[in-house]
Amino acid sequence: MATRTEPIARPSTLATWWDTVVEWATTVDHKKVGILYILASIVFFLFGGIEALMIRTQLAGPELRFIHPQTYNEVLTMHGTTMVFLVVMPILTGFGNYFVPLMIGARDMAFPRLNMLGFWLFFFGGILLYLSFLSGGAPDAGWFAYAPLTDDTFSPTRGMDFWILGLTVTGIASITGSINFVVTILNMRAPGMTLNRMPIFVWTTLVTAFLILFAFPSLTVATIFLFFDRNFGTGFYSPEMGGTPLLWQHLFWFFGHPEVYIMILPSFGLISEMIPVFSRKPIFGYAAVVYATVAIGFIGFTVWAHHMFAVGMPPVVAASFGAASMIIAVPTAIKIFNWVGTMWGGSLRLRTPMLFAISFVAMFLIGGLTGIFLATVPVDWQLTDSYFVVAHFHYVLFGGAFMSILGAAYYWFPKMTGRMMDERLGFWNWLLVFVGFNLTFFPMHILGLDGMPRRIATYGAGLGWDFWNFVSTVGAYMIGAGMIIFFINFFHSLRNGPEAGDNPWEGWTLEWATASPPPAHNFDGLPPITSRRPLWDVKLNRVLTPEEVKARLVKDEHIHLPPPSFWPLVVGLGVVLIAAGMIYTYVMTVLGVLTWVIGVLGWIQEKGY
Amino acid sequence: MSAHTQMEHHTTLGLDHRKLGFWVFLASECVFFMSLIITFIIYSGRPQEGPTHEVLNIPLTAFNTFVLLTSSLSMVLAVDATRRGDKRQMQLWLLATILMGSFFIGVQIFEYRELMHEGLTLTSNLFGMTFYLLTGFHGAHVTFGILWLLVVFIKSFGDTFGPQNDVPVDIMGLYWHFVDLVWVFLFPIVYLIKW
Amino acid sequence: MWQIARRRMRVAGALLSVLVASVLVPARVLASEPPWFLDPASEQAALIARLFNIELAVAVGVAVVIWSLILFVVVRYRARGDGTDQTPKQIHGNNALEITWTVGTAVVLLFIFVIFWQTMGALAATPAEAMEVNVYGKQWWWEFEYPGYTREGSSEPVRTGNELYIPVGVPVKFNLYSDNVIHSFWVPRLNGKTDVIPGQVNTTWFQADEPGEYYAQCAELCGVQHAGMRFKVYALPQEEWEAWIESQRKPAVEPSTELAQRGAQLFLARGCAGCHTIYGTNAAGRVGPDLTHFASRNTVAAVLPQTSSNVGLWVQNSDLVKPGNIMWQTMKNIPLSADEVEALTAYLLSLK
Repeated sequence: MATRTEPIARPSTLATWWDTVVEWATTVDHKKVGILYILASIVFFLFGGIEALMIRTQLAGPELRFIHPQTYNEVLTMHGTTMVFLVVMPILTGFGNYFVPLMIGARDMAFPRLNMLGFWLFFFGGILLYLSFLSGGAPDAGWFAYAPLTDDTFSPTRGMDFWILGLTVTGIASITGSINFVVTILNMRAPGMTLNRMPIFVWTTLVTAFLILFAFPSLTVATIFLFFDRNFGTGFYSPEMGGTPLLWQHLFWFFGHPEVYIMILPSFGLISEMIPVFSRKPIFGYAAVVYATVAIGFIGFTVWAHHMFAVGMPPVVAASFGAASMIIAVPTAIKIFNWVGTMWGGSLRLRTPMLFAISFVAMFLIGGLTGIFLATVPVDWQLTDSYFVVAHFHYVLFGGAFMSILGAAYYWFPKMTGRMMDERLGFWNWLLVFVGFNLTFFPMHILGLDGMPRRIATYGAGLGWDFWNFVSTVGAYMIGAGMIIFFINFFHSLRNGPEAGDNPWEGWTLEWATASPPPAHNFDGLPPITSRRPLWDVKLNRVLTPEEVKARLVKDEHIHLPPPSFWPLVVGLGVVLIAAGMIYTYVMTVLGVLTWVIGVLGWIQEKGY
Repeated sequence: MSAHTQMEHHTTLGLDHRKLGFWVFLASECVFFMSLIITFIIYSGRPQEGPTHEVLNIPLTAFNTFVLLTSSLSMVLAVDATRRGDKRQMQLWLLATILMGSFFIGVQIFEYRELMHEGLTLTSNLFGMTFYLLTGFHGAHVTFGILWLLVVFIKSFGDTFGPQNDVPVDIMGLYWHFVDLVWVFLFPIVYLIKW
Repeated sequence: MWQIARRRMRVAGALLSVLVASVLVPARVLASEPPWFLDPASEQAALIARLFNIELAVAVGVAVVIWSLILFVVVRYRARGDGTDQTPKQIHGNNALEITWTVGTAVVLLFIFVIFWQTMGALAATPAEAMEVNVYGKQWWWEFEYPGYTREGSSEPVRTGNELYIPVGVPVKFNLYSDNVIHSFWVPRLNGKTDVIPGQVNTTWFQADEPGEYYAQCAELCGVQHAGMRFKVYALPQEEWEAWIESQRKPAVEPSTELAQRGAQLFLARGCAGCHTIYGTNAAGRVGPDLTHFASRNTVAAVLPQTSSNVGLWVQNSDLVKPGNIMWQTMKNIPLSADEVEALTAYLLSLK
């Protein structure tokens, strides 16, 4: 074991540089695809983060004129869209791609080429969305894009078309990725890895994949209608033709609410991996955590209208949706209790991943509690579309999802690179982000109670909003500083971090049973899986070690790995050209169809999945 | 196929990856059509001007429905022939499915032309837009299925498919039956019931 | 050459307006009580505030318990040294405990649900005797129409913009209309939000219990000037309100000064009348706010105090005040000289 592969080759000449590009562009290795997802998400995170700082700068004081209100609307729309579709979702997909096969003892994902296609579609879709800034105006109607503000009368630039097509392309990526996860998890588990022994992160990824499969088609239909309304003269959302703008809201939120769980469930999974390892205890109530995950997935589809309490629905309907939303608090509370129960009586090592994991529990708790306020209809009438809601979902998505992502970055960096990240920088990274986060978002609760609506480009003085907005802006820059420390740590550790070894945290799931970074074929030998914690069993000498297993393997077993393929790139390019052509010129669409056909024909000629 | 040829024999569930994956995909497709169908049901019943349900040609579509359902039978026979290794029968039934599918699309195009003549267009009213998008996306699925069938048909001239490798034809069959099944819902919902 | 020179001039003009904007635009103060909804001024808002406070108490209680547990755990069970040599007792779960906290959570939620349901019931019905006001959400201002009160000698109802006057102690029902995008009608201290949706008429109501000014603004993203779509509710004692509505029913006063008379002519001549109504004159446009009693209002465009320099600024360059506003789409093509602006301002400020 411990045969560390040579450090990532540093390109010395143009030729080797080009080889590296080709290698990564044609890879079908789930680990490389995972890294590509993560790197691309980080790039989009920089965009989304800069947009966040622009918003906070504009709101630092009353009646500021840092950016034009039209620009402000574009920036806030792109901030939300970016963070949801181009950062949190794909980075969690990236972690899933890298670690789900490792955690279940598989060699790869079920469909390696489809996996790479998913990456290209996500990446190209994101680029298409951002091209809007260079093509006459970004989308400007908020990330939930309520009709009729989005139709061609009220949103005459092509921004909304970029939004529709960009999200459609990334949406296809999410669907293909989810099919891949479902098949991989259900069908490629190593012998002994029963459902009941799967790591929680694998469980949450599985449930999330199903949520994506059942939620995204609704968004696709909603955006198809919108595209027809904008470009072909239909009136699905137009009252003049007898339609209703509420159709958009129902279709969107039938997707949009599960979308929230699509972002938070894998995060639950991440911290359900970290907290036990850093407490040196198994997760408390494994079954309850899994059932709670599944329950949240199901109930998540029955609560969409709680985003619409103010549209004038019958009280009984509203109250039912409110009650269903409150029910979700039960499985969520179970999880929080279980995480605390896991730490109770443990031996807590407060390393950076654990700092983020504990912060997650404490901060997500606030997001969960404010969710109950929003589920009770009359209170929601006051709070919806106010800054209270902005505070609420940032406590869920930043205090929750993003904290867990940062924790997972520190937790898995050693596995992915073979080097440890710096603990001291890690601490300062955590401290600045944690304090900055609370400074930014806690005051927003107060602003919401003080009647400040969300999405306003500026506000008047003398309403009690000045001070808290200023505090919030200071906090946002503090988060920015914390993230700069993260990147310093990241790049510094990539070259100079201490060697990690196979299992630096003494973890017990299977990703730690191989080298860091893992070889292309993932495992030389898997320990026998007889419980939820295979490596814990190895440590207690209950089962064979991976080395012993490897020694006993028949020597002539050949491991065939799927060869690299550039067809995913061709197919992905075809799809995005088709989409872009619908905005720019239909010549591009025709070209896209041709590219797509060539790609598909090449794809099916090639052996493999 | 290399590494996977072995893996196929011992997947955890004993199901082929591609088949499992395709079932999952079809589940997702169900939500897509459900969203379209629900929109149609809600919108076609709202008060509106212009031609609605009454201009639909039910006898013609009923016959078309019959043709499409029959094509499901020929698809079954093609899959069955593949499993038996009867290449000639497989090709015959694939071709029959392609022809019946194409007939269905041809009739649909004819039907659209007639309806547009009656004044029912994509932009005429709520009924028009929901009708054309719903049946149009179904038609697009059928068209895609025909193209896919053609690829399978052409590939079948090599000794590609047989009892050893029936999954690609099998999946093609799953898709075709799904598209037919959707139509089984669409026909009464769009044509027979006046909402 | 000519083209380039023109472009340069336009760029220079734009830069200049930005400069002017940053220096000249006065602090746009709408001095007001903070619209803190937990300080309710109506029965409705009070019921909601009560529900909120109960939930807040529960939430704070839960948070304190969980945070104390986390803090305790972190302090008490923190590993000594690097920790890898310690093996705590391996506990996989505890059914009794897990059932307890599941049921416990459910009970707390049930308690909240019961109060929530009661509150819903108490808020439901609009009183039959309520006075009606029609509210029109525009891009980006509010029109209020009093269908029970017509203008003297006309069947047209009284209309105002951005300032909603209601009598204290009388339930007022609002019919919410939009012919453009979705807006949301929200006066935090008086009641929660109701969306203003094109194609349907939503209603809401409240009854102000104390006289006062209540700050409000649109709560649904509605375009460029969403942030400028503010309004204020003035709750007046019954007699004062009646005096107000009587004054609003009257036609506009005739301008008395020469300057204002010139302004009145300009108002008709320079196209203002195409969008604005001044009842009693030929101005009958319905696109922008009714200006019949403009001078009785406290603000210009809901964001500036009504001073003559602010009125002038708005007339001359509304884009500096509310960038992207729709009036500017027309006005940018109608250059007004300084004395024309002065005359129009004088006229508008004479419309008591």
